[in-house]
Amino acid sequence: MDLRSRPVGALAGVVPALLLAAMAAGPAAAQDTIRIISHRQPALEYYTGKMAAALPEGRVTVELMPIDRELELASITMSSQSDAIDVLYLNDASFQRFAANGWLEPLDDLWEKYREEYDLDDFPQSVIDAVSYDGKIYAMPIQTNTELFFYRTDLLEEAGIEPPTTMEEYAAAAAQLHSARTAGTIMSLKPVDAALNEAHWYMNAIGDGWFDDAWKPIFNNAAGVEAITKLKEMTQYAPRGFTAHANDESTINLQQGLAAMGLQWFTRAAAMDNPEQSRVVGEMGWVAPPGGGARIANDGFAISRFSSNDRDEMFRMMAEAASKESMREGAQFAMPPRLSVLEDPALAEQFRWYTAAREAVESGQAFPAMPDFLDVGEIVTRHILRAVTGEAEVQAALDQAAAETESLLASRGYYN
Amino acid sequence: MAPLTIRQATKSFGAVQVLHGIDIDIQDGEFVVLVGPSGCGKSTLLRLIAGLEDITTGDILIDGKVVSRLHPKDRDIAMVFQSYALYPHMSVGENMGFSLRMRDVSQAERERKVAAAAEILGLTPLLDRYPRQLSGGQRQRVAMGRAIVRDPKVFLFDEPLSNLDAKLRVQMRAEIRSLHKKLKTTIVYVTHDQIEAMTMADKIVVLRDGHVEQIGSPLELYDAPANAFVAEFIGSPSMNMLEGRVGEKGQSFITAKGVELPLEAPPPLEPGRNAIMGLRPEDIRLGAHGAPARILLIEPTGADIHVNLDLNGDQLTAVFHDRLELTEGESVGVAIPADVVHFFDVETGERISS
Amino acid sequence: MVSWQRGLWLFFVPSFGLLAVVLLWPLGYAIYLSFFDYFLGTGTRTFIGLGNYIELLSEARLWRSMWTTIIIAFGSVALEFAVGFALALALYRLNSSAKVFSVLLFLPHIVTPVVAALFLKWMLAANWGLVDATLLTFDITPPDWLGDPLWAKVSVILADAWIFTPLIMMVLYAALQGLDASLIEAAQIDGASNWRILRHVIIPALIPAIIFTISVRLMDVFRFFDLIYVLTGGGPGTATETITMYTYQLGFRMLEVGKASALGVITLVIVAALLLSINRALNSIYRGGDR
Repeated sequence: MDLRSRPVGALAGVVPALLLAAMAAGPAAAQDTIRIISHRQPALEYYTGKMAAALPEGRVTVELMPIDRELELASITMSSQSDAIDVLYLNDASFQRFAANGWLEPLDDLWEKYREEYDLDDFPQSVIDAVSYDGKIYAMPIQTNTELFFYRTDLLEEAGIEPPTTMEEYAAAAAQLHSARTAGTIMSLKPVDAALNEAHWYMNAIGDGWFDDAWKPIFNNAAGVEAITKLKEMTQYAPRGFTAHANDESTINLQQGLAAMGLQWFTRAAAMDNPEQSRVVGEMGWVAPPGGGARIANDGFAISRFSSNDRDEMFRMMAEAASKESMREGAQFAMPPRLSVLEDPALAEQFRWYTAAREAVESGQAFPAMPDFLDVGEIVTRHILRAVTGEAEVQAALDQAAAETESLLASRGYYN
Repeated sequence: MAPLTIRQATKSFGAVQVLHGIDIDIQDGEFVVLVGPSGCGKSTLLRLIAGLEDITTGDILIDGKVVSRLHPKDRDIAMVFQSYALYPHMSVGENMGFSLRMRDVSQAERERKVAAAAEILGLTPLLDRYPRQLSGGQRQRVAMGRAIVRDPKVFLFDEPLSNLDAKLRVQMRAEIRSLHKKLKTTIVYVTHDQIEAMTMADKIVVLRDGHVEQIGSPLELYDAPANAFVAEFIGSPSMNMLEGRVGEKGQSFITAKGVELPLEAPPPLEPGRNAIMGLRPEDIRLGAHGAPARILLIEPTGADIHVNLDLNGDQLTAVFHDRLELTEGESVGVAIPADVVHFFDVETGERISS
Repeated sequence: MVSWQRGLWLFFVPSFGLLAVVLLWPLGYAIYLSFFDYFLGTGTRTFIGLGNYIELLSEARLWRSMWTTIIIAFGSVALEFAVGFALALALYRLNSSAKVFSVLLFLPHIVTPVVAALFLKWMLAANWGLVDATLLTFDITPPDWLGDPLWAKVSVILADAWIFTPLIMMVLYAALQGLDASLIEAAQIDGASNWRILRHVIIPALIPAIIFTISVRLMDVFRFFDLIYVLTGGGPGTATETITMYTYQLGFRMLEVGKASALGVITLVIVAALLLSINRALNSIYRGGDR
């Protein structure tokens, strides 16, 4: 067969190739919508809804998913500098890492431009600091979140127990209320986020914290070992499957009356009184976490540096969602960072958990301010779980976690 | 060595019945051949005896014991398969000793028996070889050796020579025959080749469509076939079959095509009766006074000459042992000697005897 | 002899080109990256030679993940093979109704592994899963299928077996079809019990198919990912963290691409070595006289 005399045959190969290219170009052109990804919890559902409502319909797409997945997706997308994500939710821990990597768009000029229009001075300096890195603002603050101690007022009253103020009291109460039908306490030990939160509390309340001033891990010292040992002991009062429980599962456990108390986020408090989901409406009470040291976080939304959409438009979208009115309404889900809203006394009357929340903010502690804490969390939570499930002794597991952590931080240049 | 009796054996595969009421009596030490066209049920019958198929109704007795429902290994039989069925990953010696190994016979005893069987078959230098290194004939012998080692009551052969070339087949026929003489075991042998049947058997069982057509010694079947089917089946080339009727005077046979063949002896039929006349090729004589026929084809084999004749539309095959000067297209006269004519009923095919 | 025309080699180019792009280039790049300390967050790349390899091979976590991989891999393949072989033999005996059964038995394999893993996860979820809910109504407290280190391994093994046993069954069934039935009959007449027939006649004849299925499955199972990722995520702790899960952690969670590449290369070497030794071992045991 002589190819020279078959030009038609050659054309036949070119046409499909062109079609393919056209099809590929199609969806790329259609990526005009602003794509927001976020962790999924009631407050963020509310706020992302507000963002979508701020712009014409169809302009914004929102995807909600568990935080570990969200961060994974964001990491992979941004490390390849793709423009697939425009706006993303970040908490203080992840925010540091993303800003340090240079993946976020600095917002200082836009902040100045819209300062008056959206009353951006209403945010306290501490909150602005929490969303800044290396002197630049990188995110719009959306919520201050703090871990609270949830407990069933009816069950504790029945058993004649006071809401616990120390870790020992917590352990005793959980032991007393633990039954076949209702577990003594929830425990959210799914790696990475949930387990890290739970461990953070124990590590601060009983242990000496995670790092010393030189960023060397100290969580495997005697106090740290005691902390994790206590954590392991508490799991005997936890509902089965706790190694796979994150915030969603623990919330459901509390709502369904499958557990009597435990550590959970402020943002989940309102769900306890939601008659459509909860069986314990009105029965849940709150105090600051016993022993203190539970996590507080300042979360926000940031713009990807690789986004191909108009940053002005996106900033205004976020500012709308973070407006005074929006936050007033959102106060039921999360503590609004805006001073004017937070200091409103009507809040404490309307929402029963605000008193506890204000106390928790005082006694709580944020994650160590390092960009790599979540990566450390990957290592540490795995080993803590090994200790909890009995695969390794607590001391050995923590020692190994410390060794791996040190090696990781060394490779990231912390000890130079 | 033992007598084998098959009583009213039937076999059905689901709704299809392949064997209808088979009755066969085999004496101790007899060499019996089951022969018949493809699909007649001979292999099925053999497998029934072996126990590889379940008998539907009827009984099989070996040495007086009813074995109809027994597992093959409990029937004390040995079988040589058409494909030899040698275990490819075992040596010749291991193949032959396998059954003894299954019965937990000691190694020393095993080796002794294997050596003895190998001696009989001339396999001693091959004991360490593997089946794929052997020729067809050697594999055949190993298969037989495997059977001999068992020292069974009955030997079963399932078309063992079909995979060999013609010359080897002739040689193996003789070997099997001499083996039989030496071991004096009862043998049941299945083949579709009637020459094998004729040369090896003490007794032949002709089967068709699951029925026994005739049982008898080779010469009995040759000289006095019980029906047209057996007559045509036994003998090579086949017996010539002519349709027609007996002549008015009872002295000739008039074929349907109108040729009158004079008969030297009176036929056991009344004149005018329609019948089929059977004529063996080797019984045809050529003579000037015979019925006129034209030569169609001459096939010299060296030892004899096969001639195809046209008898006014009917085709006859004749075999001559002399070197006759014949040419194709020539006209000759066909004559029939007296006592070698067979008559069969037109409808039933049964032999008509006086 | 085919005479080589000039320019004949041009016909190789398309397929070789495709192979090079899809297979050789990524492989080469991975090997290249494994010699670097490469953190995707900051994007800095520093050459450290065999540093990654040394670090990995001296890590307890790596050896533990290898041990976990071995347990899960051999557990799965052993289970799949035993059950698959038994089913193939059963089908072989059935003859006529075999077709219906073989289709039904093959269904679990048709489902995408990820989808199968997802609904297996729902079945095994603590308290609310189908299995737990059923057992709890009978007042039996079930173990934490996915949360207990031992049971998590068992669940993963069972899940893999559920998905891949049909494959082994089909391959061995096909191989059985090619078996000369008269060999089995001869063995029956020779007095071999079913067990001995299996050992002396069927298995030796099936050795090529057996080697194939075991090798392929072991290779696959060593590179296990979707099933474990969905079911347990490598947890609890590191109970089901196989080499691939650890590689995923390194590459996509911690963004340590250099180290992950090194682990990938190590995995490749291990799997290749494994394959060769299995091949050799099985061949020598059973093919003694043959070839």
